[in-house]
Amino acid sequence: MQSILRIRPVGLALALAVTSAPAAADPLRYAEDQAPGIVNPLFTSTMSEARLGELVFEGLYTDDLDLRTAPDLAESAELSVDRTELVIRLRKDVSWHDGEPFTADDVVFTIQAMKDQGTASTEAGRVAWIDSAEVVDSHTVRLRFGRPEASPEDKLFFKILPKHRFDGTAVKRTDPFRNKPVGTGPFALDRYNDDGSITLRRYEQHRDAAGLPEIVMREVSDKNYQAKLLLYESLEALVRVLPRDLAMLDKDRGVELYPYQTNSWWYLGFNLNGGPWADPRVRQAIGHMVDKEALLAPIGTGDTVTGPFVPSSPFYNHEVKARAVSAGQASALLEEAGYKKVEGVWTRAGKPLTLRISAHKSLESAQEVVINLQSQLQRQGLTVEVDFMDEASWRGKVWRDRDFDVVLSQWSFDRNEDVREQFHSQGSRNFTGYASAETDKLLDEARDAIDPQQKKAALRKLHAQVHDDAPMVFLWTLDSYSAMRTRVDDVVVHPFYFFTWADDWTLD
Amino acid sequence: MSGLLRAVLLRAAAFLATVVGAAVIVQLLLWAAPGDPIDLLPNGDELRPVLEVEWGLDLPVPLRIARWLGHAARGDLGTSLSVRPGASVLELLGGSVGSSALLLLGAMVAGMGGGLALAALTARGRGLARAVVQVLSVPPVFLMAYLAVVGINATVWALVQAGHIAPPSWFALPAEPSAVRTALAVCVLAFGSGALGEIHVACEQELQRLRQAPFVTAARARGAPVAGLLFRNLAPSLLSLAAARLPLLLGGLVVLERVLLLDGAGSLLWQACTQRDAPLAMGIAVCAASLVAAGGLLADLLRLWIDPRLRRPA
Amino acid sequence: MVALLATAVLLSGCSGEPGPTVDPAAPALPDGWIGALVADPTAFGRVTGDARGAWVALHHGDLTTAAQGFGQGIGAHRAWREQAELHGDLAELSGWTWTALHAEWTAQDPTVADGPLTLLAALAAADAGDAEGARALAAALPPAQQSLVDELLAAGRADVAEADVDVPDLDDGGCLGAALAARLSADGVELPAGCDGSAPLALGEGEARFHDPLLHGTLARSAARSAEDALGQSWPERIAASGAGLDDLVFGVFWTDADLAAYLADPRATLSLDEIAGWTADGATSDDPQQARDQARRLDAALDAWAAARRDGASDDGRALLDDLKLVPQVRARTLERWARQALHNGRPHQALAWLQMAVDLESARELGPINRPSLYALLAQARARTGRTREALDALAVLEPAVPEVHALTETLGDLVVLQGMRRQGDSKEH
Repeated sequence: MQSILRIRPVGLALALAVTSAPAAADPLRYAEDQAPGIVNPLFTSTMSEARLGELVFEGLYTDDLDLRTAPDLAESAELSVDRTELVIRLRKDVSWHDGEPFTADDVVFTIQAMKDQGTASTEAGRVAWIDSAEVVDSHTVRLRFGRPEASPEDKLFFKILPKHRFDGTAVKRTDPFRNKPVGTGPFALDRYNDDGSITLRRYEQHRDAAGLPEIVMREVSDKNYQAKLLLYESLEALVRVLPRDLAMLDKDRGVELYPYQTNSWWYLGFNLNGGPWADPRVRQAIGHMVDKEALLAPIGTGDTVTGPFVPSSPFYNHEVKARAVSAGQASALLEEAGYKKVEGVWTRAGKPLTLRISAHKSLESAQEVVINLQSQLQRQGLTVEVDFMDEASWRGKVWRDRDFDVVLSQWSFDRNEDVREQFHSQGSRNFTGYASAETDKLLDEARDAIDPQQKKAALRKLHAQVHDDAPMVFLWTLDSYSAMRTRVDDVVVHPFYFFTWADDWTLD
Repeated sequence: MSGLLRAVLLRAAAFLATVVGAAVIVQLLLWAAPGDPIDLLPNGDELRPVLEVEWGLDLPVPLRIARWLGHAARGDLGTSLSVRPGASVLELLGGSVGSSALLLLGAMVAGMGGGLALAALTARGRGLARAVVQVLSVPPVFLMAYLAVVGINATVWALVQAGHIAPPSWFALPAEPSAVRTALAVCVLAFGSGALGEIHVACEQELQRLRQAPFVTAARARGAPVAGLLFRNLAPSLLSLAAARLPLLLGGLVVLERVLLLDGAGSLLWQACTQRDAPLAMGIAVCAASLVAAGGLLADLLRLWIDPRLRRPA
Repeated sequence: MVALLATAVLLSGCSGEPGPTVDPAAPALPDGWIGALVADPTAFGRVTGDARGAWVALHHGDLTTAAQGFGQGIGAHRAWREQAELHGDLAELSGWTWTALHAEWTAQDPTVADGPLTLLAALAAADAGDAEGARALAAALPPAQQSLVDELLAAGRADVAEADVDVPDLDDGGCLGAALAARLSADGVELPAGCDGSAPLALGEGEARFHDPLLHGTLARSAARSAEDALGQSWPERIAASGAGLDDLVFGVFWTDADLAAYLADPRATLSLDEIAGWTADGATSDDPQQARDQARRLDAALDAWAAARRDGASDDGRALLDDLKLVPQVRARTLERWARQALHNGRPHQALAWLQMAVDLESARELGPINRPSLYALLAQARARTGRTREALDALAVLEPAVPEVHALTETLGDLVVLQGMRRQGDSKEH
């Protein structure tokens, strides 16, 4: 090893002398933590797949630059008077990446495939509201809905697939389409490279040909590398910057930062399905033990929160006051719940109060938070264990088996900030087991409201309610940005899907 | 001859046992780990009844293993479930094993060669040199790779910023695939996690033993060249050492491929395990087990070929 | 002259619409007040003198404390002037928000037009100077309310004689009536205590909880008057006669005394900062954010070179002053802000958004400070709202609200719009 260290600089200089970066046909290179496993919009399960899909496929409608619903593959549409039927005329100048023309058959096929039980699509929920789809003529389709829809175009963003590439509407995940996708989007998937990267090239026949000739997706699982690679001009785009790297990148004149996915908050979620955490006093006591500011300071800039919304949200209840960091109040609550401090440790019936904190490995900066949290709680007489999980363990233990004490995690929302699935007793994302009749009532009221102020009022009440019930300790929201080299021009980043307008981007 | 046959048969049995053992262990580990590939889907709960049957996750573990072995015997390693859904495991292996094997081979040659060369230098008792080798090879593979990448990148970037050089095509490590990255991987794998120190010490002891051996003293006294003699006598122990190192190198490979973003069987195994992709993980594990077993067999055969004394029945 | 200054405060946004030209060859920046401070750091102590606390408050964007701390003179003037500009920007956002809220809400529920929403939206549009929008909204109103909107549009214009309108008691003697009365009378523009936007208007039983649409326009005019009062008569005359001193310029947007003099003579005068970045008085026509970013990068290059040159010749104290007070980044942010305001006035919100996003200091993006001025966030909110990013506009207002509590009313109104816009769409959430 010593010889290697000595020789390396010499070898390096030689290597530098003979090889310098080629300047021809520059691609835009961006990094993902994890490469998409499958490129078929019927089976999208991760944001990296959704982002790649945004380049290759198109929907009937999309967001325009001002985030208004705008026709994409659709040309125009007519809603029936009773609002249960929509006739959509399709663009005639669209072709698939394999040269076949795009027709009404493709639209109907896509909806049927998503609804087909045999497909087991991850996206089936997006078309559940459509009762039927039929071809009127080669470029016209008719959709019927069970309930009147005020503005159905807003829900027609799902991606359209080529019928001629499939044998039937029951599509398997193993279908060869998964890595040979054919779309109508501005970029076609060109190849999977030996190094695990994916190259997309511009689809020249697209009605509005893209500015970038090539895009390369590169998997860089280590977030610390990602920012460095961007600084070293070895990447042009970074989807999400670690909060602690923000200041460093902001100072670099060669890097531009764009806000991305800003509606997110961190929390500690208790398992309410039994054990000591089913007692709200114990949860509230933990709330008094956690010094959020001290946990937040090392990982980035942000704001602490007292409920399930970002403070700038219209639903955030500013009248709810944060639980004070107070050993006294925590002790009082624990004593009320039947615990005693024995030799500095909280115990009940001879058993110490033990808390296992589970966190997802990929949650940025989670390790710093967990370690500091562990020391905060242990100082106050709790026994604390820590468990970092990969995605499969997380989904299996936390989501399916509910085998956890408390999780450290984060929720990200689009502009709707709809927390129903997280807090309704029947919510599909309510893995803490929180159930409150009052909360359910407020969520129903919010869902059914047609008056925005009524919806605001209901959700602000909900904020207060969940703060009191404390199924979670609500922690903070962090600044969230993506970063791009200044060589990338004409950038506008979609606040949730990132690449929606990438066809306008160019490289110097 | 019958002794040799028995040895070969024993080897073959051990080979088979290793392969089956690897498959069983991987399957058991994945089964014991929380979560399965269906959990990774956003609407996994809804899809579970269909997918459990399709993916064979409804079967008890022994049956899963038996079924897999049955298919494997016919050359069918199945398809990936979650890493590259639907892709044939054989196809995925074909695309990744080559680069990993090359890396292993390179690391083996570099490690043994480096260790031997250092041993030749230090065998006459340069205590300081020995200590330096030991210390430098101590960092684990992942740390050594990480430090090397950070150091090289920072140096090159400083030179680029100062206007001394243009960014080289392999810059920045490790994102760009290049010969430099591969060479770095080979060196780190060969020398890290104490490998160099261990090989060095073993070679040195063996060299010292041989140098004091009567036949070497005799040869030296006759004025005959001793280098060839030494090597011939050293080779069998070197081969044993290499065979013993192989499993450790494989372990290092998994970590190294992750850190240096190398797309090989190691990183694929990592992904297969984290995403509970049993067919893919078992395919790779069996492949690796075969390699270890085959490596042991090859080492034995080579030793037999080099050292006629070993061919005599005991 | 004082009147001119007061108008200038309100009109400064309209001055010199910039447009791109050929890249300037190494633009020469004048030394300006920053150069003078760096060359002689002790001058800073002399300038700030006894009112050090007030200067610090001004530096950190705490305008109310600064105005109180100074009491009178150039410091107080600057603090009031910045407040007037801030509320002017917020009044524009308010006008846009009420118009959009009206459109979105009546589209989803036509019956809502029967309530006070249309009048409030028309008043807000009029307050923001959007005569066309205000009249379009007012067309659906009874004649008495229409004339009220017309009067509001005419109020404050020099060519319109003072109106004699019966101000209707819209909100039971509350803040809206008071604001209207203040705006339509010649006496003054002070609002009664309690009219700070924290409570909704009392518009009658069962009505939706609307907030005062005229709040920021009224506050802008009130602050402009305070700015005028703080200065008195003599200052502009002195500047005109003998030029500005260092204390007139420190922390100001005017680079040199020539800039200040030019500004006093004609608020539309192009400042040297505009020129160094290669802008001419020709208006840009497209709303291309890339063009805006390129423009900002030329400014960066010029400022970097200028700062490096000043740093080379400076003492350690001079360099420390330059860095500690973030003087150059401050000038950069103020310039981008100015450009953005102009772009917003000229219907180019995407360019404005690009500049404002670049201006924010991300090291403390959730706090006001020397770079992140209150007006930066007011403009950012407007640019985001006008490019469809209404939810993100609330993020900008949230930074402002602790320091400018009156923003609460606007936050609630914009929040209503955001909620309405979301009602039509399927929500999406994900872990991590």
